[in-house]
Amino acid sequence: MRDNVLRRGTLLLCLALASTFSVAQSVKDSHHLTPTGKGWGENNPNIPDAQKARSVITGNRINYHGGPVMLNKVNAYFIWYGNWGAGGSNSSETITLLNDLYSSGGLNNSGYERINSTYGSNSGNVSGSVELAATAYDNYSHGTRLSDSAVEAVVANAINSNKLPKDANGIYFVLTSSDVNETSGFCTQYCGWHTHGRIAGSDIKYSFVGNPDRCPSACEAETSSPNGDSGADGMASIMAHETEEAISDPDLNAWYDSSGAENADKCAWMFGPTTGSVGSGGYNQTLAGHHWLIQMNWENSRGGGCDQTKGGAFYNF
Amino acid sequence: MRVVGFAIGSLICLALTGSAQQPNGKGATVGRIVTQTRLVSLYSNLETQLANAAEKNDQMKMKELLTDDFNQWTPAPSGDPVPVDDWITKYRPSSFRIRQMAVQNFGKINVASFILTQRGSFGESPTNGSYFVVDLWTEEGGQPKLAVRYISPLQQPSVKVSTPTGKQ
Repeated sequence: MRDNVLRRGTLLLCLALASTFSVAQSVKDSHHLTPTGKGWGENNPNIPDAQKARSVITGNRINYHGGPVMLNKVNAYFIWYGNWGAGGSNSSETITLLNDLYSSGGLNNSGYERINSTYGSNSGNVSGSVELAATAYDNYSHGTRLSDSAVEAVVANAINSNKLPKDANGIYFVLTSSDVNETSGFCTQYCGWHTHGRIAGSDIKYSFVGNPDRCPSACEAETSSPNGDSGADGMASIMAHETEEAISDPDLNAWYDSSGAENADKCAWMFGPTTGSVGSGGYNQTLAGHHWLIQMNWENSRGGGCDQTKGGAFYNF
Repeated sequence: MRVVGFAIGSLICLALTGSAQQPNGKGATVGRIVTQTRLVSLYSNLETQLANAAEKNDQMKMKELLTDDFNQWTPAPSGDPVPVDDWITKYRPSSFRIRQMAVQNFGKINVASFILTQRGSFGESPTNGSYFVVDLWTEEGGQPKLAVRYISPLQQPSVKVSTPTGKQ
């Protein structure tokens, strides 16, 4: 009797697990999936074949995995963490420069940003529009050594205290002054990162970018930079990189290649041709009245490649 | 006998479930996707060049990337280091993969640590598996050169990573 119960239990468990298996396998068929925002896509019979084919362009050495992208205009939110009145590259000038980069005349709808419009989901393509919507300050609420969870808490605090609005179509940047470390590998493994999490009941996209003056050899391409502010100039390139990835792969289940590299990862630390030399103020973008040296992004067309502007030449340096 | 059959059935079932989760690769844990540092990018490239040269038995290229007194240290007995000439002639990966790299800068010394998963041999001995490697890179004539390698086999079998993990 007991054996029978055990056998039936095992059979039921196997059936339940087998159904999980079939859901997981369906991710492999990424051409006709509708994003669920839950980490997998689902087939949607209501989408006509023509629309499916039109919305998601593939075959450019980066793959679509069924998840959502950020559509329409994306709002950027800056949380200036630490001491941004200390002078040098922790100053109001640093803040102004990066605010300018995310102003309407900056990255927004630039040729660079429109590279991202080659990415889409079954719901449509990325717009290429991104603009700073609001900023907040955080005076070391979690000290000078932040863990990954502390970064999320900084974002949650800003939203829950109404310093910043809750916006599921926004990217929240935690920008730390150079006296702040992120203890999971800032300066040794990474210069910034992006992810998403459930905050105040919504799927919130957020990113950490530290002031690279903390580790110039690791996170700055130039000791002499285009705007004479090594922190802002170094952060600009990392923030642009995180922006492109957060928009094209906000829930980490949309666009990346077979090695796990997202679009901007495929062009990390590659700038293409510059005006002036990299290392002595060279730049490859002019946005919002400033020169910038910004990592290229992977264009999802023409076979795929790194370029500085949508439709531009591809470079591998 | 019934118990054994039940146990085998459960194990197969669990194994299938485990493999079923892999295509998505995310599970319940949300990762994060990093922008690797300039140094991680640079030394990933150099380590790849070195392993490629070893794979192709391109000893000239290997010598370009090593200091004259390079040596490799392992925990295996006798504890003696492997000198540069032995390393160049015996180290032959047939395939390799580098992950989890971190690079720390100490002036002209850069310390790169990473997981190396490889198939291949060292002389007559197979070297298939995953290893934790710490490489000390220095500069000679403005060119980065590998001065010392510390290498130790991993205790746990490596996990194949084919989706963004948050680590490069």
